[in-house]
Amino acid sequence: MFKDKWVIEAMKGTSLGTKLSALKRFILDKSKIDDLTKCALCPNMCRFACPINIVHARETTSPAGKSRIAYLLRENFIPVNQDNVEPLYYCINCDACSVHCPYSYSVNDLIKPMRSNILSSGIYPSSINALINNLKESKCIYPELKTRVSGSINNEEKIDVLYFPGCIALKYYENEVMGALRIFEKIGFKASLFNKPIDCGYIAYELGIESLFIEIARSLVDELNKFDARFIVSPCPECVYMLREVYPHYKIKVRAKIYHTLEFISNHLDKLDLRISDEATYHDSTTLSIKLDEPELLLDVLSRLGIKVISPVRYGKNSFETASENSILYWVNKDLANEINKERFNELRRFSSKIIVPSYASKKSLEGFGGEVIEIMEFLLKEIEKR
Amino acid sequence: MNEIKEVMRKAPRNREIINELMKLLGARKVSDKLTDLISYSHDYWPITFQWFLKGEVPSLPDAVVFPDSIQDLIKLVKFANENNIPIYTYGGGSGVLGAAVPEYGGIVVDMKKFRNIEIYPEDMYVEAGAGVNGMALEMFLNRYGFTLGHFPQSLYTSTVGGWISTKAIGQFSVKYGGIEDMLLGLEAVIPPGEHLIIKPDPRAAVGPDLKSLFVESEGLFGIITKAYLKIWPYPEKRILLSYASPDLEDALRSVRKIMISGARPAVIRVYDKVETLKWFYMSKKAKGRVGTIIVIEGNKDLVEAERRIVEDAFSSSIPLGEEPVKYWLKNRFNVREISDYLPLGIIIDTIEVAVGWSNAINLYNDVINAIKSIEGTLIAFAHASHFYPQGVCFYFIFGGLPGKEKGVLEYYNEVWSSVMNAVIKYNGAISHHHGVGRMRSKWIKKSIGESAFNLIKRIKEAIDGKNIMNRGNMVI
Ligand SMILES: Cc1cc2nc3c(=O)[nH]c(=O)nc-3n(C[C@H](O)[C@H](O)[C@H](O)COP(=O)(O)OP(=O)(O)OC[C@H]3O[C@@H](n4cnc5c(N)ncnc54)[C@H](O)[C@@H]3O)c2cc1C
Ligand code: SF4
Ligand code: SF4
Repeated sequence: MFKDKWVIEAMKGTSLGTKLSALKRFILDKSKIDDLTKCALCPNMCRFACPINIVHARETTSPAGKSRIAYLLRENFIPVNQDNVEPLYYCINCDACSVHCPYSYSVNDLIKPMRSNILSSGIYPSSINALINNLKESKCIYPELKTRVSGSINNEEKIDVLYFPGCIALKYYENEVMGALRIFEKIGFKASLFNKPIDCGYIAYELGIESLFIEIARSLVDELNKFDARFIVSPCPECVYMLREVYPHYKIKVRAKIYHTLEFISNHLDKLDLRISDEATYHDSTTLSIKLDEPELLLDVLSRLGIKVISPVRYGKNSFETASENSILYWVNKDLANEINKERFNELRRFSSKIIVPSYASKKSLEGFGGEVIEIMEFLLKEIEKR
Repeated sequence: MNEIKEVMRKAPRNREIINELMKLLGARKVSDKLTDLISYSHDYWPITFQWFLKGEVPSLPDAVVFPDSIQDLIKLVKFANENNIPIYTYGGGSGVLGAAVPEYGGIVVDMKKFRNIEIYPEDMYVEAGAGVNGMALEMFLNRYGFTLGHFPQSLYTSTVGGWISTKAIGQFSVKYGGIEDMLLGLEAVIPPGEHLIIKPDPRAAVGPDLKSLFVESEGLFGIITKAYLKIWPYPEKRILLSYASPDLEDALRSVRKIMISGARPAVIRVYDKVETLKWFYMSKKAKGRVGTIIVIEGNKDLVEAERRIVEDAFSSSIPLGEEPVKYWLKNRFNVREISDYLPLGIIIDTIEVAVGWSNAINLYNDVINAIKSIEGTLIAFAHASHFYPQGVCFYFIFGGLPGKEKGVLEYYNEVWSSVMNAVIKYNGAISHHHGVGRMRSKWIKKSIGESAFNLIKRIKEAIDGKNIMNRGNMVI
């Protein structure tokens, strides 16, 4: 049945002239209303899910607040200057807003074109100067990241799994990264490490610097495709998202099949033959639960291992993302990023002192507040080695 | 380059206060950046979004502050009081009547950093900071097996402090009540800079009920910093029922029976024939009739007893099962009207009022006819969604597209006047739960009477002699 029939009934008894002019507007103008305008007019119905909104707790950086500023900039109602564009950078690109939005909008996607336009004219918060320089000069968010992690890097050889740790893991978790290779061997896959310090281009993409993103992505894929690997497995949900979902839109093609470690391990969990009598809580990455649509993967893997899993308040698609070093916010306001991470840590800590996380980016964000924060592959390796 | 235009500003800009505030609270907690001033220049009063599209705002504050402690607030209120600077308290900004608009500039105080939550399971209450977001609170309670039972449609976007200050009510009000029924105690900072504590008692007959003073006070008496609210066990069982009745009178008669029986389903919503088509679109039998949806929840034995009472009360209506209720449950937070229609020039708003049973039908008919007779009106319809043994809350929705000869504001005010006057004629309450704000202020005296209005003024003068708190609101 026609869902909007009630509108015709609601108009009964009102003047014909009004009805005709409304009809005219509908026909001529309805399709012209753009998404940013709609979001700017919304009462912020997704704000409870937005980590920035909850922790920064300011209207200007709330989801609709950012869209309103973007609208005013776009329509030339306020001048384009560093101060006025700054709120557009207060985002951790988590898409939590999209889950509760009546239009399924991600504010990050809505404001990205504005960020991009303005940035290309050279106006952006001075706090991200360093980030942009790093990306331009070393194709990575870190300037100093050199290939430090050693490993079996032989791109002549045919391998099953090319393990692509991502920049945060390469920078901070050398030993853990090497450990993951042992798990692949254990489940019967010949694995090799990709240890070149090239970013996946995620931040350049989110900032809206398309040409830079494409340049980074192409150089990464050139390197990746040198390996004769069946699978590329990464513990970084953002890397997986980029390689699998975003690159194809730019016709940048990775030869191997791409998996997040959890997806890969979940398919081969039985081979590990592990029963773990432990108790833990967990943190879901929204890139995994929302962007890659795997809201229950971590919970499922942990439950199948026999662990007593205690869910936090926010998990799955409702998870509360951390502000990791691969979010824009981290570079714009490190104090706020730290506050967001602490907020998340404190929530998780209410449920268990052991927190299992799906990525090194989450591990890095949640470490340093106390408690045990352990990445899933690292956790598995420890259990295997206990045997 | 256009400039931001202020439509309602009533005082000259005060650029000096920012430095003083920075000294007082520290630079991090204070802003006079243009983007912040704009963000706090309005709440969700629909007409002001029509202005927004043209780069116009109601009124910019001179500064915005982001306190996170009682000490911050005490310093701030003292400073404002000594220097006669108005303070406007801001929660989620979802108020729909301009109650948070900083009409006289001054300082907007964002309370969202007050977001601590503590549950007292044995005594069945929760302590929540005034800035706690509604859905964040409900999710937290659910995780521990409780519910607040407070589900305004703005749950996702409004705050605890805002709820108390506007006397908010949720969709499940028939069982759980409005915020006033949940409120056990609160804390506030009041002029000239004192920390007021009203502790949570199961009930207290120890002097006048001071917490009530803050209910629907719209920030006039001070800044609420935390609230103690009753909680309930998460419902054990839920029953969904819906009916099609021949007309509004018949449906309301059935609901009245339920209300005076003492049964308290959580949700009762009676839609007029127009809105029935929207919410019961899947049911042919509802066409041309009045649809009612009902949710009964709580203890499993009690809900069964309530089901029997509801079924009996609606025995002459057609039962339509769970489907329409499920559809409503799924879509009840799907708010898109202003986003969809305002850019087309169509102004949409809602007006909620309360009236005794004896005048209910007459009021409904008068209001719908009055709105429809105003040139420029496109749509008008209503539902009744909060009920009492004594009467009902009607929620009218209108949309209009005034022609060239009549401006949007003129049309908008005309509709509001016609509805307010009809309610006053039937001795109803001109607001059931949105409050007064700047939109309804011109009718407050007429609605509550001169003596009651004067008493509010005297209380205001006694607490806030310099009128710093929400200056200009309710025209007090
Ligand atoms: C889509 C939508 C649906 C809605 N549905 C409902 C509904 O179902 N039921 C309902 O009752 N209302 C509803 N409302 C109205 C609105 O959400 C409520 O009035 C809500 O209580 C406002 O809370 P807030 O935190 O957004 O307050 P704000 O809009 O920020 O402020 C409202 C008033 O309270 C004052 N105030 C706020 N915080 C404090 C504080 N800590 N101390 C002192 N004063 C304070 C402000 O100064 C202002 O006067 C709806 C609004 C929208 C936009
Ligand atoms: S993407 Fe995440 S951080 Fe950005 S507005 Fe949406 S919810 Fe907030
Ligand atoms: S993303 Fe959707 S829900 Fe969030 S503010 Fe924008 S329109 Fe509203």
